[in-house]
Amino acid sequence: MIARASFRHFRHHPWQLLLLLLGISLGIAVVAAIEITTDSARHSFREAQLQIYGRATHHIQAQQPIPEALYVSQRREHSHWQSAPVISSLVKTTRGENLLLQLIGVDPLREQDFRNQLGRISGGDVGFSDLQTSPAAVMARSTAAEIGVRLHEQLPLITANGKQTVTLAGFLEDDGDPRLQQLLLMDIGQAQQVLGMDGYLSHIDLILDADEVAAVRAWLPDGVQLEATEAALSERAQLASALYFNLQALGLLALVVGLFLVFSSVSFSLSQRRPIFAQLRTLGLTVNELYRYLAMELLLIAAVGTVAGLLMGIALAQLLLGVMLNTLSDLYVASSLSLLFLNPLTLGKLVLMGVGGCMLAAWKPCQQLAHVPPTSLQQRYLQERTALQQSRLLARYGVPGLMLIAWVMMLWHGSGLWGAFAGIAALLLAGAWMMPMALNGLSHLLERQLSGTQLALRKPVLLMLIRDNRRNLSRTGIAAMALMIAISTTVGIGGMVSSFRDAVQLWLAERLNADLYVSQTRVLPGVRTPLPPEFIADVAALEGIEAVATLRRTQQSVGGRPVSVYASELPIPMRSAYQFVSGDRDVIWQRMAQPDSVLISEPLANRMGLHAGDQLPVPTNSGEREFIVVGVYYDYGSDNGRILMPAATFTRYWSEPPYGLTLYLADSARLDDIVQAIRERWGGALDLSLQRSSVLLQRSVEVFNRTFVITDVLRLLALVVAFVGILSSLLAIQLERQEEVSLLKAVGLNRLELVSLLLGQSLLLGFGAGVLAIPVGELLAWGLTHVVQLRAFGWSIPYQPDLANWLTALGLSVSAAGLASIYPAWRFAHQQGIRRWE
Amino acid sequence: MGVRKTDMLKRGFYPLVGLLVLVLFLAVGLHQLLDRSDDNSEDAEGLSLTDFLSAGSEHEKGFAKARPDYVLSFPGDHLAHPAFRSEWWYLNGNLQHRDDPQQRFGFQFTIFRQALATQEKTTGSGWLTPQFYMGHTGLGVFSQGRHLTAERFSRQGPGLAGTEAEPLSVWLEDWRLQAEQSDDLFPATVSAGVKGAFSYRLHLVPEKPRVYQGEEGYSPKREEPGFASHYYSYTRLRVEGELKLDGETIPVSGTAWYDHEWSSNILAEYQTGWDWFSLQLEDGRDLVFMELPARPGSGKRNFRQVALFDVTGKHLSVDAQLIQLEVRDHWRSPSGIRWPSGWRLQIPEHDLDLTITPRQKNQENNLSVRYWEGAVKVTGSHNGQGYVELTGYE
Repeated sequence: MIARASFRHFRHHPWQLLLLLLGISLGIAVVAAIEITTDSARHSFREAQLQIYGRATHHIQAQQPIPEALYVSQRREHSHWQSAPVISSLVKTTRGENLLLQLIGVDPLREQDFRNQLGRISGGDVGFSDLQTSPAAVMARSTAAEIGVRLHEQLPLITANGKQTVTLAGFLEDDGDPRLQQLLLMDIGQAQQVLGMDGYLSHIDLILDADEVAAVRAWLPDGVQLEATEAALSERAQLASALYFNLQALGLLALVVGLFLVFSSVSFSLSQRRPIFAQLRTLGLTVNELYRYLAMELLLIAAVGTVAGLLMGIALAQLLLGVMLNTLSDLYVASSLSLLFLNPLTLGKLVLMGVGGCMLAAWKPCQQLAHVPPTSLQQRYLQERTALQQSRLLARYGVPGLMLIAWVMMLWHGSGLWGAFAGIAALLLAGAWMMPMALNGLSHLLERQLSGTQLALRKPVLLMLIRDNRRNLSRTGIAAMALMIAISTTVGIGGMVSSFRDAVQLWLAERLNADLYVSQTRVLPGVRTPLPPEFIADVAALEGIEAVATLRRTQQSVGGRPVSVYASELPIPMRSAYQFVSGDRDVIWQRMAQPDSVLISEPLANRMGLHAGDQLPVPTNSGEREFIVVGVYYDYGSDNGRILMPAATFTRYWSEPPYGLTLYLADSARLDDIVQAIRERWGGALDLSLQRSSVLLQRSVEVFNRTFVITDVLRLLALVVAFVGILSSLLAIQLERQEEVSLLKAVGLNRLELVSLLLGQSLLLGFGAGVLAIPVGELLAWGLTHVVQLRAFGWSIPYQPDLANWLTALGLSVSAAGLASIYPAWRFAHQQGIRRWE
Repeated sequence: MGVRKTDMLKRGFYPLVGLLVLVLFLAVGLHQLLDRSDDNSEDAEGLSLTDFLSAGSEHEKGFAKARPDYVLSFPGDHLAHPAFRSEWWYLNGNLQHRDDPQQRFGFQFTIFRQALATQEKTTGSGWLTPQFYMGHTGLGVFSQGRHLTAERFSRQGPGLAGTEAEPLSVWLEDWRLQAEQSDDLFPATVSAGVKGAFSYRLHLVPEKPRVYQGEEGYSPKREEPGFASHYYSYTRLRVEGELKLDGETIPVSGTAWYDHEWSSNILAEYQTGWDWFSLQLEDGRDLVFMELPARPGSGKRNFRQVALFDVTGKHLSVDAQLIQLEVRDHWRSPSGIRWPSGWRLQIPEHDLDLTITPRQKNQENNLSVRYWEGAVKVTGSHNGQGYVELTGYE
């Protein structure tokens, strides 16, 4: 019977059910879309990597290809360590659309333990000896079809070793599995020849147990590392962690907004049915029965809403993944596969989030409903009084408590990233709890200003509007909270993103302070072709050049993460490119002249807890060396950190040749002449890329901005969801005022007055929410930039409040509230006659 | 009314839980569909091995052939002969615990070489050398009734497997037979095994000189002329060394036998395999007897080879056709093959009537190539010990 009553209720108020479902599903949809997209992107990268690493638990690698003799001696001395030699390199086919392929050279005899792609070979009766005796390769059948290569045909490649040709000897039966579609599989010997790596391996794969790991480490010579594949994989995943992090934060906030929507919808739908429940209670329904019924109804609605949200989220993720992977390929070298990955764990988590979140959000309203004595359930004023009392209590005790938690979590560095998130959540909740009282206060304030004035006397509806607003707090307060949260997160994330953008652009402009950057054109991502020494000498001798600095780079594992070590001659003009966190510039540069002095970037300093004067151990070609940190500079280029040292120091420990030149001209106006001169002298011999700093800056900023495309898209999406949610809950509230409107009409309010009453109330609510959202949003933005970014990436970003964000917040808030009232106002205004109480 | 309500609640609850479970199942199913796991790895091995073992069967041309006029020369001929298609270095031995002669062991060590193609030009890269190596080893632990085996593969590569003159050695990764002096293979040390399972390191000292099989090392394998191998042996090597088994080091001593053989064509179409006996008699004589049965209905005769060496290593003449071999017993292995398991071998010419009994029946090498390779005890007219190798049984 109770179910029938509810059923009838929802049949009479179908939009209420719809809105309830919409609230849940929209919230879940955004979270799901973000979770699934990031999951998929991570998974895609992982899968692409797994093609290279296979089932290996570890691999032996060095900064440069390792001599194959190391592998041979491992097999001859310690053959019980399961191992396999691997050559891997990105190559491009000139067939088709310059497709990037992952060339992997393996020893088929050692493959069965490591990779199983060989089991998928078919066509052309390809066997081991075919692969060994000629430069033959196998690739996915679908990829071959795509670029139009048939069996036994030649496949021209652009490799790090120049143009090469291989013969297609067979197919990998990929069955549409994208993980195989980028592979070009060869015998290791032939791969060495094609890539010009005779005598060298890219890495050695190993399957080791815990005891063996230490033994292998002890056995390895200096300059060669043993790395756990898991670590390597997560390292690659960390490449994109800055982006993932931004998305994750967005997802979390979207969930908070979504749950608030659920909370407000459930509260509203329950408060609507109070009279029915009251009747049932007086008929003898026990509290427990009512409880169980409500729980079941909610569970059903939550389940349906969550599933719908999940489906929407999956569809959304499909769209987002493309954008995301484009962004990632822009940023990072690793090629990736576009594969939507539905991790059961994530899906389970989302279902739990949706259903659990709903139950949690609904728990309070249900409890209230079930515990109120039946008689008072019917009395509206009691409802309002309790609501007001409660919000007063919350504002008085809850808000300061929450603010304290937020404060402690944000300032206490030891609480870590999760502490920072907890702080932010507390901050948001405090803002929300403050909302009803803030509205109440706003109404009081306006009332005091208005009462007694001419305006109030002439337009009594104004005072009515304000007082009525206060009276309705139990219904509208929650919607206002949701609105405030949605708006403040928009402000907060907007503030963080714009501060980050500003900081990075400023940093790029400072860093790119040379007139011209010279390097060889990169054909393959990640492959830096060295510049010949005679070229460098020749360019340095050109007339009109004030200073020349070479660029060298190597990557070393420092503190368990890959850190780029850069080196240059660091001439005087270059030095202005570096801004130090602390210390006197001149002193720092003086100290750099001493042997083994290095500068480190802020993220590295923060991650390792290093300060000027500290020692930093770095693996070199001749074993680990201690370097002296003389300064810490601002850098947003890598959250893993960077090390900068003089070229003279670098060449003592590493052998990488210079890959780039930066030129400082005596007279910048002569830039064109210099470019011309270099092109004339060397254009024929080298494929040079000569970039002016202005162009380079513009390009860097473009790439950087592209990485924010997805953030922007998602932010917009979260905003839309919040907007729709708020709109719908306000709409529901307004539409429910049928009886009240009838009464007002009966009292003699005309159409205009009615409309302005309804609209004015909404606008007031929107305005109140918008105003409160600004300080909350700013605090949030501050927390995100100063606390969360620092803890997550180690870099500090000066936070700059953005006035435009404030206006957006107010505009959004007021227009959402306004829009929500237009239709009900219009409808009530046009209703003929007076409807009586039902 | 109250009863009806609770009933309904109950009835409503389970379908709801069911719905949730269904949703989860759908999600998992969808995931499985999208993320088809790829556990079809069993073929990976197939590709390499069948390819290796069958490679070149149809193109024997281009490989060198054993010639009767070839004179073996040492130490050079201890090394690999890459111009020939197949080659193996082989050791077997009957061992016993140094302190407890009742604890008996048998070991076999083989490194096979197979050329995948004729090696016309020498390419720079060792990886491209078309030579494939396979190692097999077996260890019989007769006091426990165990037979342990292990197998290795590698291409020659840039030093992964092969032979070299300085020091004189043949190896496959860390399995190795290495001379202790530069002028001859023996005395030598052999070591092989699988870490954590079993391994051995044995010192081998010749008790008799090197002997040549067939005609001065030219050993025919069929009736038809021109099908032969180059083949020599050390029929009696004194063994001192140790086994590692179950984490325990066992000092052992005993007697071993060494073969080195290479050719480009061993088995004819009509030949299915071979039964091969290497016996060391207590009177100091050593006997090798080999029978290559012809497929029934092929119209060919079984092909036999025999050689008897006296205490000094002198080749005694034996007429292979006068030898009688009788299978006395059989054993069906867990893999389903019915192996001969016990023989009577009669060579009236030399008053030999030998009963050959496996030290244990289970000495099957169930590796990528399946054969029976086991230590035997010799009784009858003369006592002794030896090893028997049986191939081609199905």
